[in-house]
Amino acid sequence: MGHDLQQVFEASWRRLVGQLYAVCGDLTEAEEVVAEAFARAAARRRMFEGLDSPEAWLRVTAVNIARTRHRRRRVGERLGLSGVVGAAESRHPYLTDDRLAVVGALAQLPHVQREALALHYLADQSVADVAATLGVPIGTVKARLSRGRVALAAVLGETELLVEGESRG
Amino acid sequence: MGDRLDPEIVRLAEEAARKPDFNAVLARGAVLSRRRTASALIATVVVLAGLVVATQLAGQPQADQVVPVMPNPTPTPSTPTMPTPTPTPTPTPTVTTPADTERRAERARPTARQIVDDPASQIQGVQVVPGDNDKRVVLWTLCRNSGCTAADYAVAFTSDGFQTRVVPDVVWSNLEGTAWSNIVVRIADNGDVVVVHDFDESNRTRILTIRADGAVTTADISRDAAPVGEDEVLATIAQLDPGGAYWAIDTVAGRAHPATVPDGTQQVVQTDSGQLRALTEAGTYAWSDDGGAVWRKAPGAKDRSPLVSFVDSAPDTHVLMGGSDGATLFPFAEVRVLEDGSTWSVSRQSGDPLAYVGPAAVLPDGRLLARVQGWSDNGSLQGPLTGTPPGMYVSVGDDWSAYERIESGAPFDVPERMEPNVMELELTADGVRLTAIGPDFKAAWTSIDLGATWQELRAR
Repeated sequence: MGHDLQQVFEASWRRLVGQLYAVCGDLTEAEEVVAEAFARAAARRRMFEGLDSPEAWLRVTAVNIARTRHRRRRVGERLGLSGVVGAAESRHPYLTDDRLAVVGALAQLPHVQREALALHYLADQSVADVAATLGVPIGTVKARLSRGRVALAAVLGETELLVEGESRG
Repeated sequence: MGDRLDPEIVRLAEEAARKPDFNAVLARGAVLSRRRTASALIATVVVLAGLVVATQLAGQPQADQVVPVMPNPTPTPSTPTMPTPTPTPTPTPTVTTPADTERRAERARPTARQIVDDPASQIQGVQVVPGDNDKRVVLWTLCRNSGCTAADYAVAFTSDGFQTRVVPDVVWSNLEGTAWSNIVVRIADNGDVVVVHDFDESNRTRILTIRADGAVTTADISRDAAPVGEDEVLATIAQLDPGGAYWAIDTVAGRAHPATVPDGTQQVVQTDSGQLRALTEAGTYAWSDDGGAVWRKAPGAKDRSPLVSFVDSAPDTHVLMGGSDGATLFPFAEVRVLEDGSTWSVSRQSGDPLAYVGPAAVLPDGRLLARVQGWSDNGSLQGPLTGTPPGMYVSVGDDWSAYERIESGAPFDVPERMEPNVMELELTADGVRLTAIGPDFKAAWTSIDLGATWQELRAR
């Protein structure tokens, strides 16, 4: 309680960007949604400073912002916009080709599966924490993880995606 | 294979993350705090982009110096600049060579006129005044490189079908790796144009009013929400989050204020009749016939459909399309009709194949017209079009569960994904007028027979 926003910013910024990179598949996008989450915290500072878990709040907010921005692009497309806007190339950390392929494959999944896989396996969140972040029951997260692994394996052209620590959380 | 989903990916992303200045985050928070009081309107020409607007506003049309657009420092509108409408030049066909493209990439930001007149420019959006499509505004974009990861935008508008035109000397630039923001361009019945830029390089909303005579003014923005006045233009930033920006703009006075909308509003549109329609985060549909002073509400507008789209219709007919999630486009899953002001009747679509739809309208004869951008059986985007042809579809029968395709004439006679690129559906006394961008993005087209035949609209 009584968190100082700047202290949270200094302590959590990189961790949140890393986690949101897993969700968004683009480092610039991850930085922007995390910045937006901090801006929203700054706009509601009294509320933020009373939170039990400010980083969890920021993560939930950032994931929601990422989802909204994804939908906004679709709104733009529904309005008939051509693909030239928002078409900037993705930015990534230095990753091996195999890891880049996984990030690219995640981006092709429905967002509910992508978010669950990214937060659980890449961001190392427990199933319970993922459920709290996404605002869904634990059973739903487990189902999304299961289906997501199958879908990801299909995208990667592999028979099945086996992940260590699958049952953790 | 066991470690493909490797947390090392996140750790490397943490290392590569660029941390912004904390004070910049605070400043953005202050803007958001002010905007939380804001509220509603209609977006017709919308650019959703990573737009950092290096805005150029010069006093004379021929001036090329860069002058940032700044908000009014005083409550009174800034002194307008007064370029006069000029005869539209006759287009001169030119050949763009690779060398030209390279030079374009290297040169300084073009002027608004250069953007509008460049043969390589493309139409990004078009809007006409209902009932008078000689009055129209067109948003043009010129890419800076082959991938169009950076581009410049300018507006051209007319009150006489581009016999004469106004091209305000204002340029918006979309640079790589810049923050997300929006531009909405809208033309009023009197021929004036407003441009709303949400989150410019200073994290501010800036609104320009451009009079039909070419005078450009930076609007004075009030933060107090109020109903939309009869002489005000509505412009809304497309946003599915509550707290979207919905602006009512008086082009004559050069003032803007947030419109009054229901709490938790996610989307607002204004029909050609002037009726406002809103959808809240909690799934309540609301409509107002007095600019938002009084809203009638109908809860239960969405349940299993995370995406909802308004269907244009007469003021006493309220229809929504529901879409499932998980796709790039809008998957048409259901139609929802408000039967008695409070009860929704829902008819689900077959989904086999699944239609991805754009604008839709209830015709005066009761049929449902929709632009189908693509079908789930159209095959890979990179491959040839297969399966059910996209295009304009109209319902057959009474329950809007079956549809037939309108065979389009030129330039949309060959079925393609996303075509016809309809930007507007305007209900008329006996039908609907469509306004679309052509396949080459160089001209606008209009149709009054559901898209069977098209007439070109000059766009610059």
